[in-house]
Amino acid sequence: MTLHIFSVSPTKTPLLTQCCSALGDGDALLLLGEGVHAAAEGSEAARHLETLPAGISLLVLDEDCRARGLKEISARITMVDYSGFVLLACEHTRSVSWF
Amino acid sequence: MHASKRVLVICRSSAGEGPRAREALDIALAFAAFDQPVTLLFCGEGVRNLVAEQAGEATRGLERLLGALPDYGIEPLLADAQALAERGIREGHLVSGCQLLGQEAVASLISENDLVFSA
Repeated sequence: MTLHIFSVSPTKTPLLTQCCSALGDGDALLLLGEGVHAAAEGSEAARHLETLPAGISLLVLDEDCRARGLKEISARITMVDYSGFVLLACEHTRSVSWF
Repeated sequence: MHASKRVLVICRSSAGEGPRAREALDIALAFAAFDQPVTLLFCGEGVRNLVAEQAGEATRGLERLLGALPDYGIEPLLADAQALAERGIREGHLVSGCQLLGQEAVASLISENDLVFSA
């Protein structure tokens, strides 16, 4: 079980595709910083994330969404706050940062 | 007195990435302050700057600046429609005073202007 932390804009580099292919069953992907744009409802990135198997949990940091005026999030992705972020880091045995 | 130059500033970066977006707006304001006709176009990552009600420090400052542009004769704010669509950004998400452009219009804007800055 790995926590993947993704923090670059999905429309800036093709990194999200590479990150998604590294995800396994039971892994979690947390979007933060410029990475939160991948959660935008109707965006190409969100549509790609929606195709991931249900065994992978998808999360986005609430505060970084608000900083960017991002209000409509894909229904497949769960909002977490900073305490949720800490909890995720504790629950997973290791984490990988993508930046 | 020199003839005025038609100036196009293309903003391709989002404020979340760093200072580049702000610098593009500064160029637009500098030319407008000297009464040169300025057109401002948001492309690629730059369209993210047009989303209203951003709470981040860098983005909030930029939104205030966007609101002041009509006072300098810079209006409307032009946005690449395709870049918005790819990012799931709809017209209702944008600050007021935006106008959407298709790909052909973007290309002709570049050829119509004397000075083009792309940042």
